[in-house]
Amino acid sequence: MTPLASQVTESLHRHAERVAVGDATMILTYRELTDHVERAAATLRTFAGGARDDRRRVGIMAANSVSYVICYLAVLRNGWVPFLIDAASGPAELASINGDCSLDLLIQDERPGEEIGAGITVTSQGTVAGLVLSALRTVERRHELLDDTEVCRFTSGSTGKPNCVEFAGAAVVGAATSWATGTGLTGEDRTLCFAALSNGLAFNTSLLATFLVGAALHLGRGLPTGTRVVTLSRDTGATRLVGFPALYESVLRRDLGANLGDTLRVAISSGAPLAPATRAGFRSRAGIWIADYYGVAETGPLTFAAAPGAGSGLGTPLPNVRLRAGVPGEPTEIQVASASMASRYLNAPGVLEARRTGDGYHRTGDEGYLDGGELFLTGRTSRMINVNGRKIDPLEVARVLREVAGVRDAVVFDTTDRHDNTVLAAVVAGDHALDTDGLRRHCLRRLAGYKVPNRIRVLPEIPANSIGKPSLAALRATGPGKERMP
Amino acid sequence: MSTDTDALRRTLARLVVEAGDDAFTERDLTPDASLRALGYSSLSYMRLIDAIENELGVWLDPSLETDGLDTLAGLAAVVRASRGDGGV
Repeated sequence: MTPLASQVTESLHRHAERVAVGDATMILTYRELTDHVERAAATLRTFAGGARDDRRRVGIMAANSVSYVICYLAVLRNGWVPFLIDAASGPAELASINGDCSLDLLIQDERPGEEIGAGITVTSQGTVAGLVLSALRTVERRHELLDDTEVCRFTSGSTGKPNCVEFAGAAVVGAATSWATGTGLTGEDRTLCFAALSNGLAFNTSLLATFLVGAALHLGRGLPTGTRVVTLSRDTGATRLVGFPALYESVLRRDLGANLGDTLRVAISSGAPLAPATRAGFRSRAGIWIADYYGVAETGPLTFAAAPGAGSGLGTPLPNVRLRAGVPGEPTEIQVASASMASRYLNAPGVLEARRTGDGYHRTGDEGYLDGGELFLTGRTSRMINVNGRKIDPLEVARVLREVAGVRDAVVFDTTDRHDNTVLAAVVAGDHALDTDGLRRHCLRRLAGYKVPNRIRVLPEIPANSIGKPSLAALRATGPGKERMP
Repeated sequence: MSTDTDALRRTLARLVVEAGDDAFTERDLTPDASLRALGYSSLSYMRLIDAIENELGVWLDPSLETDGLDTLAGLAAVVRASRGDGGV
């Protein structure tokens, strides 16, 4: 059996009678989870899909649930490869992913409508662990997986479409082991996770790490509003809370920090900058500091602050992680090497390899420095825009805007709203007749909701600087508003 | 009753705009205008739900997804139902 599959099997058996995973509808012990996984694995084997080889490729595109975990583990159990796809993905994104990754099976929350994605043909359907399973017609394998790849995830990528990140089983186990060891995760922990399992925050902190040590994982879905978080935290007796900064901001807006329950001892955030006021406010109301860690999709989790404080640092390196960065006052690009490095991008040959240094470090595109062994982030060198922990490639969004009739050009950029949150904005050069609602509707049809610009402005021309490049300063100065061009 | 309804709509319209990110004003908010189509983000929704809970004292369960909360009219109906004074 492959490294990840055998590790999972061993962990499930070792912790048999402990609570493994729960959501709003069910709670399973490790033994019960094992039974469900075996049944789901058998069900999956009856759906061959268009498989071109023995290693079926299974897209899982669903919200957090116990069923999600069962399906993920069942795919591994069969020696197949799960592809964890953001449940918010639109039909065009799914079509792009399927075109590149040649999925055999697709698991979703609901039966897909006609708009499953262009070029995707469903040959048969059924259910697995309560989720909808579609067998897809696979015409050809556009890209072959590496022999040791056991999991594929996606990043917004640098190629204008989602990059499919291949991980060897040993790298996934390495990430979980580093996290469990470096953060002191034990079998007594109960992790309440609101980040989507397809996202690095949940994948790194919750999915495998929890099961390695025999801890319990409780999954939240939907918007993590303060009231919901507090209710679930108390109901589950959570010891660890995992969410993006927006979760903690909501808890504070509702002034519920003191109501999270007596058992909570670690609050984990990542993926987007944590405002100093949120950090201080949560400490004041909940009595614990938020541990803000640094991780990168292509390398796994990298740092953790075992004793977080008021500062803006992201902690010290986890076990088996090596960091290179600048010094205070002179930040440089952060380079990392870890035991959880991705192998490559399945659908973008050479792109990940080109970001590796000669001595095996990954160039992250983030800038920062090390001070007393602790990592501080100062900015980024890549063009990705981070909206609440989700990375968006502005070129992908601009390309979709340019599909609309009458659009001559489009530039997508980040700006800040009056709540001090990063939002996505677009300036479109085009005809008088263009209206922002129509542009936004087109984006909603083609892209995941979070990639749709909050602000769209139509102008006769894209503001440019003296050498003809779009002027970011001038673009941001176009400000909010949906008015058409004069 | 209709006066109450109008007052609720006005309060909700204010909260919707405050929780948004300046992309639209109350003038753009017809009862059935889709907030998503007006550029409402998940962050905006979280701010809105928190504001409604704080100001109106009702709990909106976002696990019901945001479809019913996508318009001013839908929001008013959900708030009235949560208060137990009819609605949806």
